[in-house]
Amino acid sequence: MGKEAAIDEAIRKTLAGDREAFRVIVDTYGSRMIAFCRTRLASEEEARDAAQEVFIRAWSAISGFRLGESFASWLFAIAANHVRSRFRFRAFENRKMSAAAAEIAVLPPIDPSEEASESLRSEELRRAVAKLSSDLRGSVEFYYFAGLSISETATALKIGEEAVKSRLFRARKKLRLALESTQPGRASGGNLK
Amino acid sequence: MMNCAEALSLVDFWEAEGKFPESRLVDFRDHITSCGPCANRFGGMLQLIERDAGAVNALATSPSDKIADSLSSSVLRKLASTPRNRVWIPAVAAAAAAAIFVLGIGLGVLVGRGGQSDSISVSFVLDAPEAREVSLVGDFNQWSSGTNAMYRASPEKPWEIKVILPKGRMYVYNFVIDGKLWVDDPTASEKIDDGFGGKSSLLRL
Repeated sequence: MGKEAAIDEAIRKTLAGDREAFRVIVDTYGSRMIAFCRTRLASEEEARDAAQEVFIRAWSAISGFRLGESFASWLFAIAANHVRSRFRFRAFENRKMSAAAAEIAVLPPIDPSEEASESLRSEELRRAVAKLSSDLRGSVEFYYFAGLSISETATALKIGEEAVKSRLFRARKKLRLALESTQPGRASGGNLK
Repeated sequence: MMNCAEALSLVDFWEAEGKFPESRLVDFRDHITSCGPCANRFGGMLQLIERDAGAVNALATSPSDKIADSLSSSVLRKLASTPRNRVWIPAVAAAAAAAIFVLGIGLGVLVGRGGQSDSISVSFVLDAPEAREVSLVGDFNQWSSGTNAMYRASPEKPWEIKVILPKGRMYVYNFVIDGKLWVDDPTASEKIDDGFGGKSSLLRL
């Protein structure tokens, strides 16, 4: 059985109340779900907790999923709402009126001594994504972090595919500009081979 | 061996098209590993490029294996005590969503007298005849959609709820339709960005 067929089978069994079948869904989308939640939350542990809550909400609400629709779009739309609620709660707690400002404020500082590491590159990328306008950011998070297709991203955001492509194009330009400007050798101009 | 000009050309193509030839990905990685200036310049974009080259399904910012591996076990344990919800939640469909947005008409916020002198009774009203359930979320209820479920007297009537709120503050709120669609109050005079391309409404008391 192919991977997509296995997921479809797991969804059908889950709709019938099979908890073990739901494990296949969690295993399939678990890492992407944590990565998606991590874009808005302060730590990997908090993202993991949020991902767990998203899957439990999905289990509880799966009777509303219609076979034939995109399950990934449905699942990550729930995740977006859940992360938004958690983020809003954080902003409320911090007495921040600016959502974007609070969002950026919770990111840990960069340790310059480790800037070359993979994890720091990921952190720089998250920072750059966090500074995008909300329409560009949402598209980037669904497409790149959650791994949804253009079509699935369009469905999750309730916009057209051309709008998604346009937003991703603009996001790539801004992210490239931001990420190149954060690199130490860039300001003085490196020698290209 | 790829040179810097080729690497730059590929990144320019990726930026414009959102595509990167998978057949050139290994050479590109090798180049930025051995070339300091290109590593500095393009390293931060490598994860995005790998996704668009089709080398990975999602970014390599994924969590550690230890954290991801334990997720399904902990979810399955929780499910044992989690009931299945029989409330209808719509599948994601642009047409259905658009209909609800069009029909979701905010009828305004009615401010009355509260039981305490420093508080005010506020009625939130939304006309959304297609909705199966509507809740009010805001900074006054920690953005929890389970706290302030709205009600309607009949399917033809608008959804409404009264909330007692302290005076002298500004509140941010949204309506959540069918547990899924966040909408702002169309009648609110002030709105702010909600962080996902939508809006939240402001209420000053």
